[in-house]
Amino acid sequence: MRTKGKKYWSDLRWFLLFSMPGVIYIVFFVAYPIFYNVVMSFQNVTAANLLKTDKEFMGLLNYATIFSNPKIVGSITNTLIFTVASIGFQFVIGFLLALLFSNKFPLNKMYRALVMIGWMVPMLVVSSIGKWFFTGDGSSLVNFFLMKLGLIDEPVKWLVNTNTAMIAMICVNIWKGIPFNMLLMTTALTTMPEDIYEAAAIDGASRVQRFFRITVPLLKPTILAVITQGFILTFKAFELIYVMTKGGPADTTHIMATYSYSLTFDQFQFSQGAAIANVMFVILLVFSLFYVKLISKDEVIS
Amino acid sequence: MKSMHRKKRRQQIIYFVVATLCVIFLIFPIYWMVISSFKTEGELFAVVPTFFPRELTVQGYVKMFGTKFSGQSIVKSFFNSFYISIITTVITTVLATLSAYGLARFDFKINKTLLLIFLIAQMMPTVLFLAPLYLTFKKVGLMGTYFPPAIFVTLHSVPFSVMMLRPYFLGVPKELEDSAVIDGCNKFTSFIRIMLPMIYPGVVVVAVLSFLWGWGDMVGAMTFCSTGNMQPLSLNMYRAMANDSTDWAMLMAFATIIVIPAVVLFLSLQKFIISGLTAGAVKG
Repeated sequence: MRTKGKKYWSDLRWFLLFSMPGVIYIVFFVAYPIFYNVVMSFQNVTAANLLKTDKEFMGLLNYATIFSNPKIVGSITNTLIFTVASIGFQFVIGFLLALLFSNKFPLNKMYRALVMIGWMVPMLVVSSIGKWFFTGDGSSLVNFFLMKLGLIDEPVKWLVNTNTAMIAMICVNIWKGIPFNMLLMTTALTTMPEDIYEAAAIDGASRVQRFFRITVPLLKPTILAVITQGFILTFKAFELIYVMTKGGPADTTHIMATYSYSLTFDQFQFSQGAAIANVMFVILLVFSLFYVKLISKDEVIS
Repeated sequence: MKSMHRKKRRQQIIYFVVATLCVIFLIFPIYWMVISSFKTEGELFAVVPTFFPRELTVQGYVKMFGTKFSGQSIVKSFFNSFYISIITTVITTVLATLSAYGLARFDFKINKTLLLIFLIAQMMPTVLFLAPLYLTFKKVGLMGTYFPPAIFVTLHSVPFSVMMLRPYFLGVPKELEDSAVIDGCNKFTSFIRIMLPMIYPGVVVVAVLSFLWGWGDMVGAMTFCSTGNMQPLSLNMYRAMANDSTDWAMLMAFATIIVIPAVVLFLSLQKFIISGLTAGAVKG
């Protein structure tokens, strides 16, 4: 009994020595800002009283203000559209490409490496290329292609119009997300056990049946992983919008992240900026807990 | 038998052609970035764009190296980016390997909670941190150093890396470490001598990714280094674009310069990165 106790305490000591530096670091720099934002969102913090101690308690007034501002409500809608559209297309295109690349054909490996380069390019650069593709008065490359294909008759000023600007940004984000989706699912597909398929084929399962009954269930952990990663990255996207439209025209293409930033750092409405960030926090928290429940049920976290 | 072989061959060719078109589509924007940086003004805005420029010029690059961006040369910015990235890499690699190991090797009730903290931290919207961090950095006197933008990036990279590295450590048999302890190593020396060499592909991935995240970060730089002489390339590039009369040749030259380290790092470590990401993301 005593020796077991001794091992327990020694293990605990090592456990704390190894894991605590990272935990403390993250808790300090993440939990503290979250706490600080909650406090700030109930006060009236502006540039005038930011560094003073006498801040007025406002209750839920900041939340009432942001939810009654149609532009902010618009940014919430934009965030949802942006996230759902981006993830939907990234996933479907990535999946189709994964099915293609899980077959044998010449140069397959080299192609995959090339595609991966796209994933390594920083978001800032991707956004600037995106802006160049959709730029200006109509002389953009995208317009050239679309007119060549006969899909549009006149040049579109993509980034000066709310709806087309959203479409342009979603397209760029989809492009950025495809490689990650594709490569993870390709790897998962190529490492699947062949014999299950053979057995199913002998039992008379059709191609479609094999796909939905074997491929999809076996791929579930990977699918969950890529969709979650996609959701996290898309929901907190920032550079793309900030670079391509900066929320314009007239603040109609903001997503929550850029609106919060602009309120805080351009208009110095720290409390309202914090309130939007907290709304994002709650949404992501609910999502993360849902995800954790999902994966612990599947015992993916071992 | 022969016809089946031919059918297979034909199928492979179809796959190859479709895949080629897809890859062209996926890497075309990068190609377009590079050739735009070498184009003349006339060709950049030609009504019918040229996919293989008739005339090449390095004007964009010359202008970029000749311009001072908020009083700072691009060479200085390059080193600023480098320092920020190195700090990000060191903090991430050290903290994440230690934590991932602790959470993989020991089994305490609190493990799940700690993992949850990392998972949630990884999911947090980055804008949430900016204003409070700004005030914190100001209070503790870190403003005016390379640390604020680097710390900002680590708030994403550390949790990500912990989640990615933990499955690696779980994959190393416990007996290996136990025998090291019998040989007189304590847990820390066996961690350095036995565990790290076993999982170094994972550590390489973590180091490379955190370096690249530090390298490409614009938000932290914009918030914490917007003045002074520590502005990185990313911030200068953003500024070069923000004014209405964007010089696209120069901007694409800028983008190319920023991408080069990413591509070089990636190509040299490609083998590790693909396998590492897959292992982590699927199990994490």
